[in-house]
Amino acid sequence: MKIQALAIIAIMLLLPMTLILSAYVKNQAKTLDYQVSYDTKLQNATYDALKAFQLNASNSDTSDIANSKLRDVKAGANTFFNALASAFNMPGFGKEELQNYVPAVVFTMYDGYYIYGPFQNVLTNDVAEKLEDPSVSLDKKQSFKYKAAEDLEDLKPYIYYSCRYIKGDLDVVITYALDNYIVIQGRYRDTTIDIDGYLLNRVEYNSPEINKGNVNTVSAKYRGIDIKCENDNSLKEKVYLTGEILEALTGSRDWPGDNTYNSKYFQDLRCRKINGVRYYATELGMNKTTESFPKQQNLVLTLLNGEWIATNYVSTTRQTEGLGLDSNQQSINDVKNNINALEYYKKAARLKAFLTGDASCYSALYGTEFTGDLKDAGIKIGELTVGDACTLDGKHIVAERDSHPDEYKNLEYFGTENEKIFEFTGKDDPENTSTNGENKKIDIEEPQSSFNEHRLNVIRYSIESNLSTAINNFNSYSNSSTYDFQMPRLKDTDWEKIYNNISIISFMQGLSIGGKIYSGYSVIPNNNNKEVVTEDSIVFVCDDKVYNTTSKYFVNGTTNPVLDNNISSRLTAVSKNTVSRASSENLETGEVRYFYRYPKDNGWYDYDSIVTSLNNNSDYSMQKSSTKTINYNNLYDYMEGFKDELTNKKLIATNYFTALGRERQGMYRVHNNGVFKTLYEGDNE
Amino acid sequence: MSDTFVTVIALFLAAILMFIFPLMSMSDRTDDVSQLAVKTATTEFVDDIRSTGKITSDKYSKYVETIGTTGNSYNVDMEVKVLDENPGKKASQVETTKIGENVYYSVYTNQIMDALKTDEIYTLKEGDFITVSAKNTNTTLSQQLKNFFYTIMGDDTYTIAAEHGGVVTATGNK
Repeated sequence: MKIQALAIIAIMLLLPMTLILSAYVKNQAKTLDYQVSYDTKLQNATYDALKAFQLNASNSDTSDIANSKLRDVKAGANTFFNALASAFNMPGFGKEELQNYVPAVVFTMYDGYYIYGPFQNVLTNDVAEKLEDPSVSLDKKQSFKYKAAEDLEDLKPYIYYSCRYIKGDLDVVITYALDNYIVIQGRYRDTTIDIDGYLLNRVEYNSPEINKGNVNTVSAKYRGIDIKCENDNSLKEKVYLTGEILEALTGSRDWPGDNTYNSKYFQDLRCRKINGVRYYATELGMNKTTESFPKQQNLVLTLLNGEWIATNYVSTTRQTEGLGLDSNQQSINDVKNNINALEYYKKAARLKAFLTGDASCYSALYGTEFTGDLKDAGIKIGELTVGDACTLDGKHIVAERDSHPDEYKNLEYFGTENEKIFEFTGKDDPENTSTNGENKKIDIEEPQSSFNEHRLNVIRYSIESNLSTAINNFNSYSNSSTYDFQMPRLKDTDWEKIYNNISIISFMQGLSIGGKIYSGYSVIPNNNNKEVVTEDSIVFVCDDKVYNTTSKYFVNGTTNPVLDNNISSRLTAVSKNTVSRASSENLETGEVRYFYRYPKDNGWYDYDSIVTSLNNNSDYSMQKSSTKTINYNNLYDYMEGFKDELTNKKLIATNYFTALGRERQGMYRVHNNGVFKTLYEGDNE
Repeated sequence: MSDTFVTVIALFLAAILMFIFPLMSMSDRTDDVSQLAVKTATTEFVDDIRSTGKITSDKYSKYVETIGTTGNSYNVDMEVKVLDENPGKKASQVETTKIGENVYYSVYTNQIMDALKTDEIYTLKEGDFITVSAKNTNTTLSQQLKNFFYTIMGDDTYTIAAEHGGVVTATGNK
């Protein structure tokens, strides 16, 4: 045969093959392309949901309160679907369609999480009976919001990061959180146990004879550092007053015009955050810039829905009772005497006494006897091990896992049987050997402690077990009958995000993307929130007026940080974005303006709050410590290092620990109802 | 089979293999590059709107110019879903600004362009959604070649398309 003929035959053989191969490769590439683009869409939609949640929560003053928070979370879920729909270019009618492919959206919060997904609504008996009852009119029946056995797509009930522990007569549930706060609830024999607080090791609380009106005698000690009541006029916040309150105080409610930054409207007020709400105390003669004398003074102010209101807030126990003050003045003094940090350390001391069976400390703190079953219960809880952890129906998790290793492969992380959970003073800290030859032990609040390890395991176990059930159940709700919905395995880096901050986890599965069926998830952590105060949430300011979180400032700082000694104040904050805004309406034009607080100003800085001011000290230069290795992950240790330094440097540690305690104590908590009482309990009859 | 015939076929195949195929794959790559450029420009344009809360005619023409540099003509569609100020929920605390709770109504390219023509600026507010999509309107070389060989696409299909959208996070001022 001629060479041409051979060439033609070769080409005819090769060409179709190349075509088919290239088509195949193209298909694969397209599948990958789709995979990436769907991942991006999911990620973007989750991010949008987070953004909406952040904006809603930080612009609302009630976002801490449970049902308002629920609203914000729901709005976040709606935004997720809206954003996803517009990413798939089917805005308007996307939600129902997309819900078939989204088995769950998880909002992890401070001490638990919400799962958004479909479920069958079960009515309470009385409503169900009314629906059956022929005497109830049809109109009435139709007016019920929910029908019996109706499939709903909504937020499921809040699930706590909790774990049940059974050991002999003891049966308790311990709820964990994103920090070292725990709530213990349950029974021991006939005794009910209900105690909460932060777990701290080296904490002492000086419980004096109860001194009415004199908070200065109370003090706490943490890691050898004194914590005192903050009432020395340094804890102030710059606020923007508007509306009726401004009129009540100054006799005018002028619209400030374009010059929004006008000292006339900004006031430095003493503040205290209680259960998520910030209260401000007005000062006598505060209005220096206008001629007219203030019409009213001695008000406790707070922001509600962007409006300033005066509240007749009265603490449950008067700190100032018996001093002959009127009730306004008493409320004001309660705000001015900021005992949040003291409360934090007091609760920690009490919890430690409870768990270690320290009867004298416990009864000294609470004035009640610590004996009998209650004491036994405390000691027994303190001795709980990982092996005592149970599923809800009372099976010991570790024992189950070890006896059926094949079925529980995914539980390998859960720890070993005999590991003690509440080890206040743990093993030697390998990264920190003290100069005097004594090895430092790992305290319970430090990240490497066995408690923290167990806490993270419980969080993971709780999310994994509930979420995999929720996603499995989704199969019976989805219209997509061919695909089997399953929870994907989350990467360790994603778990890290979930452990460290509140976040949104979204799942999308079952969409055909050419070569295969799409299955993806996205985890976005929420760094600006009011939900959690981490060790690194405390902010310091350098003399260049730059705000830095503690770790950036001290530990990882590229330059030697210098504390601000001109302004003579140091401050702390959770985050600028947690600040609520105030609104002001121009009555003539109807225009509404929002005023955000200004983070920088000569004088008082405005973040969430401000710690002790310091004057006439020049020795603020904080060299990066070179004498010992710094454990970047452990700010407790790092701060403690300042303890033996000069007074000025020691103040850094004092401020840090005070601020941490104050901010954490000020957070909204369901369990907080008794908080205000505790310091002067027994004094309120 | 005569030699001439075989040679003609061989020449024909050689022409296809040596010219048309490379040309097709080259033009395909060109489209890919354009696609990437348009995608990046669209994302930038949208993200800028999202973070500033406004569409200005400057930004718009710059965007159109950027995607125009790929040598194709495009049809740009914008849609703003405006968060309705009427509260969508009867509650003790009515908040018109809650994102994700209220109804949206849409404003499309024409209305936005009208506003840009008269005011040079179109403002959005916190919580609105913006979606921008761009599709090519001319027939690219790769489309022409494909149409020539295997007419699988109609006249109005596009090969370069990009879209991006999301929540607006700032309220824009004029």
